[in-house]
Amino acid sequence: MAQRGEDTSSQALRTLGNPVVRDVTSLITLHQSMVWRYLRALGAERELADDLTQETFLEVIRRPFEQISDAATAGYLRRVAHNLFISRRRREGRMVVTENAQHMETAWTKWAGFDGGERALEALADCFAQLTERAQAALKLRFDQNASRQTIADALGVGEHGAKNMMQRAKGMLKECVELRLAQQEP
Amino acid sequence: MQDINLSDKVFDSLVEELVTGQQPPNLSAQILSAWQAEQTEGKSLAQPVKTPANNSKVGVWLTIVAACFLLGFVGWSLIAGPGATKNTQPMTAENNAVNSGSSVSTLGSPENSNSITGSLATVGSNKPPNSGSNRPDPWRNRGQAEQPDQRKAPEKITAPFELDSDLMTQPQKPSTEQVVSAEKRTDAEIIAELDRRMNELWTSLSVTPPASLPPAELAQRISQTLTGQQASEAQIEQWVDSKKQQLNKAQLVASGVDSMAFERQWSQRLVQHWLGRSTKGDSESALIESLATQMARQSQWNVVVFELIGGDLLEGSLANQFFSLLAGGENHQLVECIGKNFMNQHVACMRCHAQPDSEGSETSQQSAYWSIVALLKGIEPQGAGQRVNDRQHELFRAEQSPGIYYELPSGALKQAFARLPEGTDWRSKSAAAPRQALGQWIAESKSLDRATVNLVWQIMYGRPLAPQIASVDDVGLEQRKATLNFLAEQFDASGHNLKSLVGWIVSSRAFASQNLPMTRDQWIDTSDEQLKIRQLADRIFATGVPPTASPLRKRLKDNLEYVVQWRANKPNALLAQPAPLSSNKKAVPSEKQDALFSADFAIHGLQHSVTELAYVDRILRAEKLTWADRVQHIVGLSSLAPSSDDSLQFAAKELLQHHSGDAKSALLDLLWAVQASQL
Repeated sequence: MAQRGEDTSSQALRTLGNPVVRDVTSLITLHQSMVWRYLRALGAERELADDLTQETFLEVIRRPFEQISDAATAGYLRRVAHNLFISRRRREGRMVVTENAQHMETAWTKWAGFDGGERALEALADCFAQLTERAQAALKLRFDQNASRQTIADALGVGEHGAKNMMQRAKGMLKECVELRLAQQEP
Repeated sequence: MQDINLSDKVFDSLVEELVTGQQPPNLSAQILSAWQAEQTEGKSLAQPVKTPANNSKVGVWLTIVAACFLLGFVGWSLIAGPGATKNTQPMTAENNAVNSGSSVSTLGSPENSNSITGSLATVGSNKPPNSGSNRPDPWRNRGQAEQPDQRKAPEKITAPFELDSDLMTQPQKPSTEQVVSAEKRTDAEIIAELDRRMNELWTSLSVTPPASLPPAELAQRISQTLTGQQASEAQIEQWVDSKKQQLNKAQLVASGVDSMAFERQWSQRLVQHWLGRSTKGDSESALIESLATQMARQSQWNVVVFELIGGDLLEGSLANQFFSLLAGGENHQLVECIGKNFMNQHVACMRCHAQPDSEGSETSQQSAYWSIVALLKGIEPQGAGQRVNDRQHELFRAEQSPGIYYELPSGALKQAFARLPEGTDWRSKSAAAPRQALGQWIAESKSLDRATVNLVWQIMYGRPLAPQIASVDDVGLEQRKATLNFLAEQFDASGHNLKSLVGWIVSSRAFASQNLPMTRDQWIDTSDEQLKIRQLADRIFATGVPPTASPLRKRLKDNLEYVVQWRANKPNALLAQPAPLSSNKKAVPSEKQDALFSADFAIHGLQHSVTELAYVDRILRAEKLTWADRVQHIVGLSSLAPSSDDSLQFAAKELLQHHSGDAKSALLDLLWAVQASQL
C-alpha cells in the first residue's frame, strides 16, 4: 500500500506482504540498459557499471517486491543502483557526484524519461547529425578520446578558449534540440 | 545548482554513449548465472513474505527458475515438481498448523522470513532446523566457502556490579542447557515450554498466580498489546466463542502480528526504548516508519540490527536515522543504547569505574566499554542532527587505528582501540569500517537474541525477563535466566522473527494472568505479609502485564515526586509499593488520606533486600562517582537511557536534603522509585 507523499520507487520498495515478481529474465532484459546507463551517468567506469548492474539485479531478485508499474520498478532499480554505487565509492574513499538519490532521479528523468534513455538517444543521434562537422569533431575528441581542451584546440586550429566555447555551444544546441524533440514526442 | 550539474552529467553520459558507440552490454546470462551460484551456495532464496494466494506463485516461480538454472537451463516445465516447491510453501494458517501442530499457527517462522540485505540476510533463513547454535557467517564475501568460527577466547573480565551478561565473558560457550534446547520447536511447543518454566518458577517460590482473564478481556489485552488499539465488540465476537467461552488465541495473535498497526506500534515502542524518550519528533517518526517497513517485510531482526549499526549511512537509511538520534560527543549515549538493547549489557556501569581483576591490574571492563566507543569513532552528527557524518574511512584508513584515552579508577590514562567485545581487532571481520564490524559481531552474537527477548519482555511487562544487572533483581534469577536463554534460542531458530517472539509471549499463561484483584481499599488495609506476596508475584511476572497508564519516565517522575513529598511529611516511615492504578482517586476514603498521603502508597514494614542494599553500598564505595553519577546509575537500572535529566536529578537532591545528607537512604528511596515505576 503506497503511502501519501511517497515517490514511485518507494512504492515499489514497499512490499507489505504482496510480492509479485513476474519474470526475472524479462525484468533484467527490460531494465538492464537503463541501470547500466544510470550508473554511467553517476560516474561509474564501464567495468564498474557492469559489476554494479549485476549487483543491482541480484539485490532486487533476492527480495521479492510488488510490481506496481515498469516505471516504479525502474525507479526502484535506480535507487538500489545508486546506493550500491555510493557504497562502493565510499569503500574506495572516493567522492560521488551526489548522494541525494532524489536529485539524481530528477536529472535522470529529465533526459532519460521512463524508457531508459532510448528515446533520448534516438533524438540525440538526429540532433548530433545536425551539428557542424567541426562541432561533431570537437565532441568526438572530447568524449571518445577524452582529449584535453588543448588537444582539441590544436586539432581544430583554434585557441583553447575557442575550443571550449565551441563545445559549449555545441552541447547547448544539442540540449535544445533534444528537449524539443522529446517534447514533440510526448502524448 | 546541483540539479543543473547533475542534469549536465546525465546529458554528457548520453552524448558519450552516442559518440563512442559503447552501448550497454547484455548482462542477462551473467546476472542469472551469478544468481544461480548464490542458490547453489544457499546464500539466499527469495521467498514469499505473507500469505495471499499470489504469493505462492512468486515463491514457486522463483524456485522453479532456480532449479532450471541449476540443471543447465532445461525447460522449466520438465523440472518443477513437488521438491522444487518445498522451500517456498506459503505460510498459511492451514499448512503451518498441519506442519507444526501449533495453536498459534501463523506466527512467523524461518520459512517465511525474508531477506533484506542480500548477502547479509541469510542467517536463519536456509539453515537446518536444529542449527541454532551453528549460525553461518552471513557477512563473508560471496563465493567464499563457509569457515568455522574462529573467534578467540575472550579476556577474563571481573564484573564490578554483577553484570548479567556473558558478553564480556564467554560469548562462544553456551551453557549445556542452551545446546540441548537449541532444536527448533513449533510455536505450540515453545508456548507450552514457556508456561511450564514460568509455572515451575511460581511453584518454587510458592506463588499461585491469579486466574486467567476471561476470554473477552484477554482478547482485549492481546489486541491492545499487539496493536495498541482497542478491539471492537465485533472483533471480540469474532475471536471468542461465546457458547464455549473460548478464545481463538491463534487467530487473534496471527491477525494481530500481521497487521500494519502491530508494525507501527511495536516500531514506536522499540524506538522509545532505544531512545528512552518521547518519539514525537520528525527524526524519530522517520526511524519508526523505516522500522515498520522492515517489519512489514518480515526482515530478520538481526539483519535489521545490522542495518541499524553497520548499514550504509545514506540519507534516509536506517543507520542514518538511528545514528542521527543518538550520535554526538563521544557517542556515549549511542554506546549505552547499543549495549542495553542489542548486547544485553548494561554498559553504562563500565564507563567510568571498574574493579581490578584478580591480578589487580587490568580494568578490562572499562577497556571493553571504551573499545566500543573507539569502534564508533568518526560517527558524528552533522548540521542540526538530521544527518550523520561518517569519517571512519578516513580515520581507519590502511592500518591506522586511532585510540581513545580514558581515565582509570587510579586516575591514570589508558588508551583503548577499536576492538570487538570479544577482544579481537575489528579487522578480524570482513568489514569496511569498525562500525560495520561491530554491527556484524552483534548480529551474529547470541547476546543479541537475549537482548531482544529481554527488550520485548520489558516492553510488555515493564521489566526485563532477566535483568542485566542482577544485583537488585535476583528473585528466581536462575530460572528466569534459563527461560530467557530458552526463548533466545528459539528466537534464533525461528530466523530471528520478532513477530514470532511477541506472539509466543502474548500467548503464554503468564500474559493471561489477571492483575491482582485488589481494590484500593483492600490495598490500604492489607497486611505486610500480603504486600510481600504481592510484590513477589509482581517480580516473577505472576500477575499478568501491568496496565500501562503512563510512559515509564512519567511514572518514574511521579513516583519520585511522591517519595519526596512522603519524606517531607513522614521522614521515618518506610516506603511501600504503589497502590493499584485507579482513575478515581476520590474513591479513597477520606480517613485514609492523611495516613497515605495521596493514597499512592501503603505503609508497611518491607525492608530493602540484601542485594539492593549491597548494590547501593557498592555505588557509594565507588569514590570517583559524583552524586549525579550515582543518581544516573540508579536511574539507568530502568529501561530509560541514563541520560541526564535535570528534573530527576533535582528530585534526587531534594531526597538527599530530606534525609539530611544521608546518601544511602536517599539512593535507596531513588531505587525504590525506579523499581516501583516498572511494576
